[in-house]
Amino acid sequence: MTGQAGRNLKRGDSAKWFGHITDAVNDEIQLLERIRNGATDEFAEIVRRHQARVFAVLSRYERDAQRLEDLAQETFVKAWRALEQFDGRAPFEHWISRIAVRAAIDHLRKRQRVRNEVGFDEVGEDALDWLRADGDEGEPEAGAARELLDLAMRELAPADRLVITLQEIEGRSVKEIAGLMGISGVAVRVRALRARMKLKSALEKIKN
Amino acid sequence: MNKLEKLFAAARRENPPAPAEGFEFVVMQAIKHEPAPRAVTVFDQMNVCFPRLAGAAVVVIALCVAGDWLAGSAQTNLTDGVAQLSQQWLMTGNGF
Repeated sequence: MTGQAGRNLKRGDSAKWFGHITDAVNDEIQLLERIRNGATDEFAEIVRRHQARVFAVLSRYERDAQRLEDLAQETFVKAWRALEQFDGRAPFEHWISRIAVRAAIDHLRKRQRVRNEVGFDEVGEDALDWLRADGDEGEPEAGAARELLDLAMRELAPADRLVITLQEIEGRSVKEIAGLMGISGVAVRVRALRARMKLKSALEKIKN
Repeated sequence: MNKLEKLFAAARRENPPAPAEGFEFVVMQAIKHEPAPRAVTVFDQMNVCFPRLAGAAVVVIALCVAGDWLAGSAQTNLTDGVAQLSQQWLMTGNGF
């Protein structure tokens, strides 16, 4: 009796949740339609709704707060320019995430030129101590891990860095990454494998 | 679990930074300087798909037009061309 009631409740909740999602999607489609018809100011609402997601994507590739904000701004301006191309087949969030990923790869390519100008001084002592420890030292602090990964990832080509970040840090599937980057699943796997090998060797280099 | 896996696991835990207060207004300021988005034409799509092909086609067309114009200016008209040819043929002794 209780189990049946529970199942009914779950079914009801799921219908309610699905209803909320559908309402949100329809609301967004209407909002985009109004913007396309000239209500430019309403684009601010789009920015408010998706800024957290865009910052989350971009923060994996840029740690400096000012540069991160510039990159996020560039992403939204690109989305604005290409708004007519959004056909609504996929959620707007996926579409803008793809624009953010492309902005990130352009940014990484530009930044690649200066990657050798900065070095170990950007990595804290704690991070280096953790890396040099031989025992079972557990996981490092999130910030220390980012410092080490950022330094090691400078050895990677921008596209390889993007693949490994999307796969290992954002937890996206091969299919998703292939869609986001416009490459095949095999190319994603190859890039991920190559990136791992280079990262391991870069970490060894930092350690010694 | 090797060190690389541990680094990935720790990096996954990091909270992304929140956007600054009023970020949407900064974006809107930038957008105000942008031209309004316009409908995408077939030419835009072709330009995206085949930018080099389109450039090559323009060069080929330009070469053809220039070649045609040069050939046209060297030879005034068809009658003159035929007369010149027949004269050359007669001069070689093939005529009646």
